[in-house]
Amino acid sequence: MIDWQHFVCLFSCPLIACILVLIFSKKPNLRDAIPGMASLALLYFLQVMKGQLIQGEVIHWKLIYASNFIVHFNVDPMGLLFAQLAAFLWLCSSIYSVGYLRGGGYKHQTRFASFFSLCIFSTLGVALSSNLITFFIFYELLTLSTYPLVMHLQSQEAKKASRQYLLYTLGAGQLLLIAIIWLQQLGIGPYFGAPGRIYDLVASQPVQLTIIFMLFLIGFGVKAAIFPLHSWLPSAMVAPTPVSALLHAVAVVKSGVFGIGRVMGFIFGSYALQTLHLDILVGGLAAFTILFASVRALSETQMKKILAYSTISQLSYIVLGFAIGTQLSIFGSLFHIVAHAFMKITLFFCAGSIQIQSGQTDVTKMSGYARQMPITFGFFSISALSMIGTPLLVGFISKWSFISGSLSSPKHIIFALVYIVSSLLNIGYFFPIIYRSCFDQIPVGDQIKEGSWKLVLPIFVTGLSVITFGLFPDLIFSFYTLSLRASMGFLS
Amino acid sequence: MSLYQQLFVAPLFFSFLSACICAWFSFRPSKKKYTQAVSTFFLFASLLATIGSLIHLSPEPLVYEYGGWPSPWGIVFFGDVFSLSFIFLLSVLAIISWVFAFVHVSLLKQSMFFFLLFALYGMILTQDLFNFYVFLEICSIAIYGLLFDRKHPASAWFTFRYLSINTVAASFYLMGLAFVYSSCGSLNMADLSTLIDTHNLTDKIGIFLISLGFCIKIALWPLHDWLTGAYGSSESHTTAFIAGIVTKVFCIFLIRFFFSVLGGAEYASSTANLILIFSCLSVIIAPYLASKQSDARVLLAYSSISQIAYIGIAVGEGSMLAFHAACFQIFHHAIGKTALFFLASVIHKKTGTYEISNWRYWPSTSKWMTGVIVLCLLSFLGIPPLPGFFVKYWLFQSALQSSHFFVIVSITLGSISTLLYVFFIIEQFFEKQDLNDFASTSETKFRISQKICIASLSILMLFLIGAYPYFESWMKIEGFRP
Repeated sequence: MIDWQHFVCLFSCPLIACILVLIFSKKPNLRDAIPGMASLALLYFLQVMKGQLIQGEVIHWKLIYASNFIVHFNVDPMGLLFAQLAAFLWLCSSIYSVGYLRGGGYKHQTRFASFFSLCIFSTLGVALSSNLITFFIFYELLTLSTYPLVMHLQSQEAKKASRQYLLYTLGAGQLLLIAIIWLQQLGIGPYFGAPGRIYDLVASQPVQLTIIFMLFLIGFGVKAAIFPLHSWLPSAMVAPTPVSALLHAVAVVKSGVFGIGRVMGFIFGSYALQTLHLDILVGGLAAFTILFASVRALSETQMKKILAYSTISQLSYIVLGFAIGTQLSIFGSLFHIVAHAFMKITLFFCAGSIQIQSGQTDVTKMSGYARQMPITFGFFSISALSMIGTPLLVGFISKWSFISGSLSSPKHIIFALVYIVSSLLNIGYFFPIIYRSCFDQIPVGDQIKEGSWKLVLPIFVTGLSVITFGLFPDLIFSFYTLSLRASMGFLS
Repeated sequence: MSLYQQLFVAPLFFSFLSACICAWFSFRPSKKKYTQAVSTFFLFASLLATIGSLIHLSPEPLVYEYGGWPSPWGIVFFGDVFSLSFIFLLSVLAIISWVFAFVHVSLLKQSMFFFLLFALYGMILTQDLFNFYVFLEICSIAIYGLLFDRKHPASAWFTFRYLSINTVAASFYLMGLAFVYSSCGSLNMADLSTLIDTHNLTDKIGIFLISLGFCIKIALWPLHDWLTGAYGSSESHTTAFIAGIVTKVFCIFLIRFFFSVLGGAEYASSTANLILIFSCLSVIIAPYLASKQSDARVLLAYSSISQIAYIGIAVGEGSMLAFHAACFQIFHHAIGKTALFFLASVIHKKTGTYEISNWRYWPSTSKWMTGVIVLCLLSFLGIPPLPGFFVKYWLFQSALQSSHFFVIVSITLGSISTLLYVFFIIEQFFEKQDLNDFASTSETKFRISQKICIASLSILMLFLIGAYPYFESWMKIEGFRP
């Protein structure tokens, strides 16, 4: 295939899915099958692309090229990693959301499915853009296409949460735009991986560069939920669980983290960051966010809130890895994008299942549920263990790289401690849930059972992935190779 | 002089002819069918004439000397890329508004519409500042005639205020002319661009008074009150054309005056800076005021104020990038705002009020029209890759180049306050609907012509996205000294 055909095929999968969903809104079964089929097609095209990338071919597509405004797509290991992840988890969550929405008797399922596809489309754009402007377009599109999903319940609470969400994310988007244009004025970018004049500017314009970096940090930091810009994420949990699972644990927040990675690794590079002492700043903020969010999670009793705070802390793992800047820690960050996605989506799926089957969202009242929902709680426990960093599970690989990466850099040894303390805190908020659900007595009258296959199958697939990718991290999607290659591509 | 070189003044002639015909036959309403056919023919003929002269436009601008009098003495009409592009926009919007609304109004109002059109064509084309003043007054009176609505007593007061404040504005302009004329001895724009001395006090006062007049005309905060009152008290299908294009024509004059006659904002720095500061304030304050409104027309009027203030910022910035931003903003806002006012009038027909809360019936009324509303609003907000984004993109670039950091801050704050009213409207689409209540009033179906009008406006809007890469090389203005 010619390059542009590749990209047209890729982008048309979610876009056509979105249109077809709208067309077949009157036939629920057909409508709900469309996203699943589209995601399979998308996975196929991504596999083809991955084959070519590993053979060393350069695949790119220049869509618009006007003096300062360039829309240009490009496939690199880091982007492909993210795109494959989004596509695979779209498959899982498209099945899950059918079970969830039908089981919970939700309205407006067509709107839900179409905007969900649109979100995947924008995530794909974020992953495959080769420069900051293209990135920005899709980054904003992602915000807007998530808005109706956060608003889905149309309640007062949903309205409030979605307002907060927009104000945070679109406001930050403005700062991002300023930062991008400012960089252009200084003669840098907008392409990722073009070192340009950054080395001269570190000496001549340190203040401007620092301000620009701060603008980037705020711009991406909102979606990456870095303290103190994190508070939209717990409120956005008012959305239906599939939204929280895929978007607020994978697509949206990861695109923020992805952006930070792109800017730190491919625009500034570790030399500029270390000379300007920005690595310490970002690292310090991320470390504080990790500890703060973990402690906040301890005090929550709502399941989705706990998971939200856990997400906040895990996202900062990734940011901290980028900040440390050794190759091992960057590898850890990139692999953790994948690892955390699998773990967190499983946890959210489980939380959603429990909510649909029992109506229960309070973790203190889930006594003995594990005996009635063994599969759900089994995979919940596995993912929680992986989150803590148990060997042979997927979370271990990234945590190992994080800690050994920070130990290998004398300036950043202290951050190894943050990872360890955070793991202990993870035990603190996950184990009581597991313990209570396994060993406490069931309250009389609570009769619950496993949900339909549409709820259980996705949990099974993602939960099994947590184990499989822990044992064979390179299986099918080559996540390990891609993260390794991407970490080598970072500017040093 | 060949025919093609004179073609560009044809719209002026056609619209005047239509106006006279409509006025004459207003005493014989039975002949309305024939006048409508003639007027429609003239409208399309104007569009074709514009397209024809755009196609045959050479780098040398077209000049039409009225009555054969040469340039500094006689009145000269001037057709370059800049003016002909906006004549094209005006012709397209005139046809759309004609089909949507003005076909159905009385003959007298139709004649007012054509007089307005005549004045607008004249204001864009003329090279003579006094001739411009004549068109300005025709424009004010025609708008007064269009907005005045006998059925609504409130409109009498508001339209009268519109007329009086616009007269004040025009008087400022006239005073400014007097100052400029006394020191330069000419009112021809091309002539003035060489004669005017921006360090001379008399000229400075003249420039200031002309700018002040136009700051009232384009309704910069805090001189905006007349606009919201007038738009908020009249039928929005007639307001659509006025809100969409009339204030833009004043902006076109401001751009021509600052970029072409004065040759760039730095030559008139004090006045340009004043415009810049008040535009920055408008960009922040007007959207906030918009989000507090419950009447859709007033909300859209405030939104107009804030969007036009972006043009004010561009004029104050005075760079080439800002010039492109201003021109693009005129296109994008004229199309978007016309569409939104049309949609407001459609939902008014269905529900009987202009309350913004009634917009919650949009998703159940028409899905794609809801989409058009969202498209226009998001473009105002500046979401990439919609046209509004490019305006902001250019303005940011220009402001960073000239280190105007307060412009950057105010555009950023302005975007955030635009967010307030944009999502105030979009949130309505998620409100619970009382369909039983709605069903009784929704008897009136959409006319097919209305659908076509709104669809073509949204297509034009999307077309602008594609036009962006070519816009910088296309749009030019004579006499700009960067």
